[in-house]
Amino acid sequence: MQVPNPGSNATGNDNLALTAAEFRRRFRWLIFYTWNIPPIFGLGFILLIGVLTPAQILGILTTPLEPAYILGWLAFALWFLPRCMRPLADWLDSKTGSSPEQAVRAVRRFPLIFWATFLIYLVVAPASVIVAAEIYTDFVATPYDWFRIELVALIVSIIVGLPIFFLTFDLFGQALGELELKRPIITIKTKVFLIGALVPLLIDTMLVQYYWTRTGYFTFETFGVWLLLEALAIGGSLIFAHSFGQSLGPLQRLIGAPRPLPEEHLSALRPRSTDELGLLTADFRNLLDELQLQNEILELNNRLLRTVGGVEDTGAALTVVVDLCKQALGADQAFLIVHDEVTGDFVGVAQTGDEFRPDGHWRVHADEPSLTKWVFEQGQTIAVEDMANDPRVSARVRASFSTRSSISTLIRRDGQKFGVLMAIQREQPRAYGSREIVLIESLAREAALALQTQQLRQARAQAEIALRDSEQRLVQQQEALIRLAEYQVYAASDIDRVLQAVTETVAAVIGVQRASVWRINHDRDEIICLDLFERDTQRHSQDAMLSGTDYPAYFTALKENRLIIANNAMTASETREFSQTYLVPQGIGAMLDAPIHRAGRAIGVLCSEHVDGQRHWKTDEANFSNSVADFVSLCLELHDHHLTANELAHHREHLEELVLSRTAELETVNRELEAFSYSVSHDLRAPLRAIDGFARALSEDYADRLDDNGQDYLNRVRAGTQRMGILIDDMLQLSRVGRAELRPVEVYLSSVARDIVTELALADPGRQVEVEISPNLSARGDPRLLRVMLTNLLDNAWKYTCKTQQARIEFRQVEIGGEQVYSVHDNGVGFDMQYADKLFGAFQRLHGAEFPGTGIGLATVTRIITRHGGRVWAEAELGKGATFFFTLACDPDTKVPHITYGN
Amino acid sequence: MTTKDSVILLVEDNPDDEALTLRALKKNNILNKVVVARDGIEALDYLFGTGVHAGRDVSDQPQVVLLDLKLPKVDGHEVLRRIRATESTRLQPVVILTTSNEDRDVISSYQLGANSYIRKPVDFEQFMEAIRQLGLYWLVLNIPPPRPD
Repeated sequence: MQVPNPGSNATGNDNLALTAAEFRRRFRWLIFYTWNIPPIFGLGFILLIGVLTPAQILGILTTPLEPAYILGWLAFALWFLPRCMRPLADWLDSKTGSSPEQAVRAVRRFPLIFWATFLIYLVVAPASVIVAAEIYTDFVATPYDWFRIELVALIVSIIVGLPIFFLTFDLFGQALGELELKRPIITIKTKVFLIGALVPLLIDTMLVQYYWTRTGYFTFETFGVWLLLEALAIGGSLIFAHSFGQSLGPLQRLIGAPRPLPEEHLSALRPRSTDELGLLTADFRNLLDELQLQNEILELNNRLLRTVGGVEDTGAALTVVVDLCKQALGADQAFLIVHDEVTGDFVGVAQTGDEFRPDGHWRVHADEPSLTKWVFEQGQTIAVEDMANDPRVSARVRASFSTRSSISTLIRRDGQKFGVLMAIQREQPRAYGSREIVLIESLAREAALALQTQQLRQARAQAEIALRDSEQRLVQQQEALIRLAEYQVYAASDIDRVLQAVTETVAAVIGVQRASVWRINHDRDEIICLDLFERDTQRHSQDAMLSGTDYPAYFTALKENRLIIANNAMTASETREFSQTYLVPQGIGAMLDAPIHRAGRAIGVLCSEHVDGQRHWKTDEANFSNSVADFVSLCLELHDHHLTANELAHHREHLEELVLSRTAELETVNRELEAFSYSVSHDLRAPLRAIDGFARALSEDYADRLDDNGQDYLNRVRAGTQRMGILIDDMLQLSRVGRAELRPVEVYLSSVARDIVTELALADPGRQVEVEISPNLSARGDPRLLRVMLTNLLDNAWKYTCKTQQARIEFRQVEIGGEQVYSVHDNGVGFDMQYADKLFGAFQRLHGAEFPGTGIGLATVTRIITRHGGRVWAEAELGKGATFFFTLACDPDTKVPHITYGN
Repeated sequence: MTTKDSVILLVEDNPDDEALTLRALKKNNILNKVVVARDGIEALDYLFGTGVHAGRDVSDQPQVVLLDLKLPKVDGHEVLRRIRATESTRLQPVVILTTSNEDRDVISSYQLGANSYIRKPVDFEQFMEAIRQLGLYWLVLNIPPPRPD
């Protein structure tokens, strides 16, 4: 069987919340002990003092009455008491099953119920014992026995009941721990009195009874001693209760006191004993003091933040800080001293009773000993009660400020030492405590924070202004770009006008004295000024030149297409090389140079030059420069295109001129050629005719004087001249074929060929030639030239078959390699194919005098066919005839371009 | 069948051709008077009765003019143009007798109003034949325009 240990459970395991089940279990165990221990204890004591014998006791216990009484009560208690405490158990169960007030009320009611039940149980118990003894044993009770047994029962009930009762309340305390009680349910005083006075008293009574029973000795003296001892016990416990009350007194006053604690409660909160309660009181008092200080600091900070938050600038904020410092510390005056980083001096910028002065109301030299310097260097808060003999302060400082006491602390801002906050007393010396130190340090911290906040606020306000400015500028820039864009129409024709608009716009919008556009030359080693605008003189100039060898860094940056932002042109790496030659003479302090590029290659630069000092170029200005540079690039490109177009136009005109002049030349040549042909036809033939004519005249008129030889010679002369005449005609034809204008029409080659053959046959009626001409051959071409061509071919065929038996000539169309090819075939003498390539040249002949000919015919054929965009070739075998193939393009004009010159 | 009265005006600068033409005419029994002009000016002077032929009776015009194209001073085309441009000679039969067979010569001659175009062959026999036919046609068969009276 598990034996719980209520005592240890009640005091330990504070962290564990008591569950309802645990509570019920422990509560029942306590009831169980309460109803069992006293009978055992009481019967034992009755046995001890001899009221009943062991046999009688045994008799009582073995009879049904006494156990029935005890067990009956136990059952009742185990049912009744938990029922009374159900509100508490229920509250523990779910925290909602019953209200805390009900739980507390049940606890408050419990002592009455407990003691009533318990006392009835124990007061009636002796009766049950005596009745049982009388019924079941030989015991006969005297009134004296009744008294003694009742007394034992009472004493036992209290001696055993009280501790168990307190243990029960410990259990309740644990259960109610979270509830805030407005007043105690059982005061400590009560507990002390009950345990300290009542328990010894009852124990004494039992002792007396015991000795009386054993010795039979009981006199008035015994009663007197008993009374005295009882009085001492009661008196002692009363004294103890009083002492305890005194210790507890200050704390007790807090119970149920109004919140926040009124001043009289706080002042009464002083330890009145040296025990733990006294110490606890002192600690509690300190805790309250600290709380109050924290409160004060918090309030101070609040005020500081509120006030500083409402002021415009740092100076006003610092003034607020010193005012608050003076108030909080009750000082005569407070100062805020900042450290001048340049000189190292300490400057009193803010002090109570004065306006803020950035240059300081006063100044303490960096080397002069002063508390400010000390605090600043040591970084500690220093409180001095009496300045009179302090070695850390120089006599001058002491005299000039007439300070008795001071407290000062370091102000850090952003982790950096910023200055010192100081409060002083002039008249009365003052001993500063930790409160003042904490106050001033907190004030210094908060002041720094407030300053930061205030500065942030300022910065934000500035940023907002800057943003507004920037937006305004952006709008201006946009408008300027739009206006500039209108100039684009002049880019081609009047680039100077565009560039002047560009430089004027840049100077106005970015706000610079000088704005210029430069262009990189062809060799990329110089830049040439296309336009420079100077705002103060409102004048434009051009043609300045800067050489890359003089300014390598600048040119490198330029060629790399870098935007050059030189806030200080004298020191910026790209522009400092201009210093002596350009920047100083022109007074230029800052440069913003945007590259003008085309297809990723820099072709120029747009320069904004700020005269008179440095300048911080803003991002939007750089962007604007870039945009304008892009615009310039576009315009230059348009301009260049225009130039190129002009040049092209010029070239084209020139070309036309050239063509015209060439044409004229060609026409001249042609005319000369024609003149030549004309001359040939006239002037060569005329003498031939003369030779032939006069030879004829000679042979006719002087025949009688010439012998046969002479006649023969004259005949040879005439044959020569006639042959010469044919040659000249053929040559003229060749020449004409090359020059004549083509007039292509549909030509019926079959019928042309038939005509030619008919003419041949007429001219040479003695010949028998079988001619086969495919019907319906036609082609597009110049009818005269095609006729000439066919005449030549058929004439050749006719001629070279003159020695052939059964001469045969065929003109037809065949398909060779998917191409329509015309062929003129004969079965004449043919020729050796190894000379085939010579065949088509002028004056080339493969045959001798046996076949007449000038060697010009096939050259003429070639020329005609070539002019018709066709080809001609021949296949032959010596003695077996020849075939001439030719093709004609469908449209000679398009296939073979040919410039013709006609009238 | 030839009319001996009617005159042939031969405009020819080449003395060889002149001799051969005269020979051919003679051999073909064309016995008309042949007036030879050795350049264009002379030909026009004859026709218009100007210059060296001033005072000539211009109502008596040649039966036919044999006109070479290639002539000193004023060429055959120009002569022809002026013949056709002048009222009195507008209807004058003109036969171009030239060595050239260039198309443009032929075309421009006809455009200017030549009545015929004959190329002088190199072969004298052909030349003879040409002159023969020419004489037969122009002096015998052809009826010239009536003379203005």
